[in-house]
Amino acid sequence: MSNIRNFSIVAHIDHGKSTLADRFIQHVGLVSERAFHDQLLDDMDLERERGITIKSQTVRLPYRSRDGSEYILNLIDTPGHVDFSYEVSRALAACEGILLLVDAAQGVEAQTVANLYAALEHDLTIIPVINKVDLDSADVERVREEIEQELGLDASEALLCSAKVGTGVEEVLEAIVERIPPAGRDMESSLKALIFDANYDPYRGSVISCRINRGSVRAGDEVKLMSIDSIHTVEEVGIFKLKMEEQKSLSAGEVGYIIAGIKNISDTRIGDTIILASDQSTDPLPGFKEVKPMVFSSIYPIERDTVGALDDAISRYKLNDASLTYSRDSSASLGQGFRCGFLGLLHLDIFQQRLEREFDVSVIMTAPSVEYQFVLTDGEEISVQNPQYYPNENEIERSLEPFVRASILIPDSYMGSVMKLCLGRRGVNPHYHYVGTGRMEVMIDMPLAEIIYDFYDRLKSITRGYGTFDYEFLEYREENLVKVDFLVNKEKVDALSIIVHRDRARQRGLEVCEGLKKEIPKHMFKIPIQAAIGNNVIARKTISALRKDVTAKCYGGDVTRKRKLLEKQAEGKKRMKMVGKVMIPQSAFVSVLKTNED
Amino acid sequence: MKTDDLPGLYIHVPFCREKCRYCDFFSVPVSGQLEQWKEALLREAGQHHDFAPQFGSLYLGGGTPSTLPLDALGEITGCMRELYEFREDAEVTIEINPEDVSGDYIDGLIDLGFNRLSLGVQSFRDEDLLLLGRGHDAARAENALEICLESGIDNVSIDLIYAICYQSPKNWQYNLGRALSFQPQHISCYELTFKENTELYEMYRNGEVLSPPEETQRDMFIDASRTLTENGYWHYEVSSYSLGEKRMSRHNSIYWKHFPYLGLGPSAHSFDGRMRWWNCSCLDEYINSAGAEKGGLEELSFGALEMEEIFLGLRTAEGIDLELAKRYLSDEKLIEVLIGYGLLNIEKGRLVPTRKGYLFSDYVATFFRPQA
Ligand SMILES: Nc1nc2c(ncn2[C@@H]2O[C@H](COP(=O)(O)OP(=O)(O)OP(=O)(O)O)[C@@H](O)[C@H]2O)c(=O)[nH]1
Ligand code: SF4
Ligand SMILES: [Mg+2]
Repeated sequence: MSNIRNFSIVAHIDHGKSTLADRFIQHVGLVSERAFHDQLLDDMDLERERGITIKSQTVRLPYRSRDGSEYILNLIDTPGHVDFSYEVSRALAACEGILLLVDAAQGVEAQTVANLYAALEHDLTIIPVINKVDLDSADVERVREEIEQELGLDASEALLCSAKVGTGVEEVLEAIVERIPPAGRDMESSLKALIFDANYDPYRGSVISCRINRGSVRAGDEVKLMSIDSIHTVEEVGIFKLKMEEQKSLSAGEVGYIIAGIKNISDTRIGDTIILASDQSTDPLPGFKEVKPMVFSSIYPIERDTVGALDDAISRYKLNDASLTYSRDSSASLGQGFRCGFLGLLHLDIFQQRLEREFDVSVIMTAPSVEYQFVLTDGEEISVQNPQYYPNENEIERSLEPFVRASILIPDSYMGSVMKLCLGRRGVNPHYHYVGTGRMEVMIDMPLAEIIYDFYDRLKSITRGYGTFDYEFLEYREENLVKVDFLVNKEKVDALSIIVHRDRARQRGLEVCEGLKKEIPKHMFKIPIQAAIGNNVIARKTISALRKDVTAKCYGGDVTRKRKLLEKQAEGKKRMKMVGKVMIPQSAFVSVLKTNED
Repeated sequence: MKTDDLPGLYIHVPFCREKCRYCDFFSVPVSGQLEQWKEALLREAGQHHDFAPQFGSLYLGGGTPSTLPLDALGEITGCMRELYEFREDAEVTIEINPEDVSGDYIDGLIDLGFNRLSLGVQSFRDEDLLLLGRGHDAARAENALEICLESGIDNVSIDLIYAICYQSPKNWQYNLGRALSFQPQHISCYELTFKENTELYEMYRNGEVLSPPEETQRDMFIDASRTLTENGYWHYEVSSYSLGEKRMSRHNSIYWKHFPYLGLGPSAHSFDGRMRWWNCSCLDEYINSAGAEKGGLEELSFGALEMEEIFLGLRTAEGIDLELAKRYLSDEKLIEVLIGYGLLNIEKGRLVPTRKGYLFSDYVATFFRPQA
């Protein structure tokens, strides 16, 4: 029987996946105590800064079980945030089982459920693990109940552990080898492997992460990427052991990487099947479900970067983040760019950060929008992800916008102010109930558009950080919508346009004008800022002209100070775009998202 | 504008009779530490004897160098001349305050080789001087200026401050008129700024004094530039005016032209064309270490050096090389934009600021991108 076990650790955000992975890594002695640090697998700067996992990470652990047998465990640590759920679903395709972690204090949460369902779709073995039992607030009995009730799993199978303290970790490892089915080791048939992730190495081309379903592959093999029928010679195969480690071959049941001189970025497709070039008879694996982006934003190059350079960077990025969707787009005010779709706001934020850090391009991003649907007078139905393409007002028969069901957990003392916030954001049909002493859950239907701008920030500040919030898509509902344009110095800046509910148009218009006034630096001339519906101006603010800007003295000691200041200012200016005669900073585009409600 | 391409030597004299309310220069009350400071200064000078083969200027600033008696000054200048080589026609400047001026003192300075006097007049109005906390009144300032001009030194500069709280444009015109009536060879006009850690800053924060509105500040700047240029002065740097090219401050131009300079004394900055370093702003520490203890040091990248050249150059009538400018703009079209705003002109392959350009020189500088 095969001694390979492929499994993912999945859970809701922060339930301790990466910490448990740390314990496994230490238990099998993969790193020296000196080289170890917390959340070892979160190796991206952004992951460390934010304390969350963004990318799934694969690592191979050699494990000797209690009875002395040797095993190979391929662990995939996955992200818990809903915006990165595509990372989880792809990881599952490379596994036979999962560890479903549940925080002993927080219990079952939205992503616990979502990830369980995803695993069941793949027919995977589920090992429920109750983590953080060391916490004072741990309530193992309640969590067991939730595992039975909300997840429909047998709670008696749940293991207890504390990833932080290390208790129960060995029992979890034992359960992995006992309960998770060994990976199939059909080495006789010809190669069939699934690409579930990749990244781009400027020297070697695509580094493909794959799961070998059957057969084997080694350097020198001629392989075929099925979807585009392109043939490549394998240069190197190997496994992930914190670093890439070259192997003679990869064979059925294993998870590892393949480098095959694939320099053309678009040749590598996540979900594609790799077979031997000589193989004529194999059908491709089913691949992955299409992602459904929820929020959209356009990006435009700034500085001297061209749209071609940006294209290059995005396609390389996309290789490592399959959940991004994008297509060419253009704006009268900002020129050529791309319309990108994201799973959520965090996804969007991470995208921008990574693009800048890893690919060294600076971009202007427009305020995120959702996808609207319109039924036109001639019966045609269109969807609009970019306010720029809002249809002609008098051709619209019906406007529809996406609604979500928001689930908000708060201490009950904040109930009043949270309801006020939700209703102010056009929330309808609220329900609430207690989920333990002093804690309430509010369920309310809300337009997605109303929560993508600063809703979470507002919620956090209203509840002093104690509110948490989740949502799931509900349906499209008919609403009275209108497009509001913004004119800066009398010129319409199409990238600033927003689609809003008609009743909220004037208020939002004014808020955005105020935001723009705050963000756009003074120029040599007065700059009027207007919000308009069609030709009707509904709000206006003016940025006064700069009157002077000079330091009186600049002698020996002043020069350094002055230069540092300039460097700082220039850093800010890097994110500006000239529209007509006006420099508009990135922050201005995003200020569209800010409100001034209290 | 022609300057010497020789480095300058600056000496910081850290003593003042009283602290002016607006001043954030490093200085301490005149005290018994004079000897120790002088001794440390001379030791520090010795450490840098190989800074440059020759200097084109010597500048005693502060603080108030005129608090020093002539013999101390003589000892210092004598020592400098022994340690360093100065060009024959080197510009030798000393900053003096009106309350220290007497005919004998000025004659003594001339005997010591000073050939340029920089007099801290600040205003010809008692109200202004009182508010600034200066140690002299208007009459004293006029008298001192008269003495300086009559000394035959033929290179006298005065400092004036404008936008002093309640000062009106008319008050400022009066000051300009008084200054013109004396015809000093050089005038520096500085806008009053409320600097942190000054008494005036605290007063401003507590609402005890006001600052005139920006429009008025701007008008005062323009008034000065118009009035002085109409009367034959050359506006060759944001705050500096001279009667002809020959009377511009050669030493100060070294800073703006980005030539090397050696600064001695507490808080003094030095620049050798690549590195900049500065002494700590603490007299005791300075005395103890004789300047060996540095307040800071930075090595400037080529990009940073050029960036400095750009923003400093754009503060002077000489401007900057057009090709250099283009390399630091994200878009060459911006030159047209800035010219369109009336801030810059192109003259003989150089980008030079207009009067309005001086007024917006910080703004103009922000268009240039620092490069790593
Ligand atoms: N007290 C206690 N804290 C734990 C335990 N396991 C993890 N934590 C803490 O919980 C926080 C989140 O841990 P992570 O391991 O980063 O959680 P994660 O599930 O990987 O989070 P994402 O990858 O962002 O979804 C960290 O502060 C951990 O130290 C545990 O067993 N007990
Ligand atoms: S302004 Fe001059 S005299 Fe007044 S405290 Fe400052 S350095 Fe001393
Ligand atoms: Mg994690």
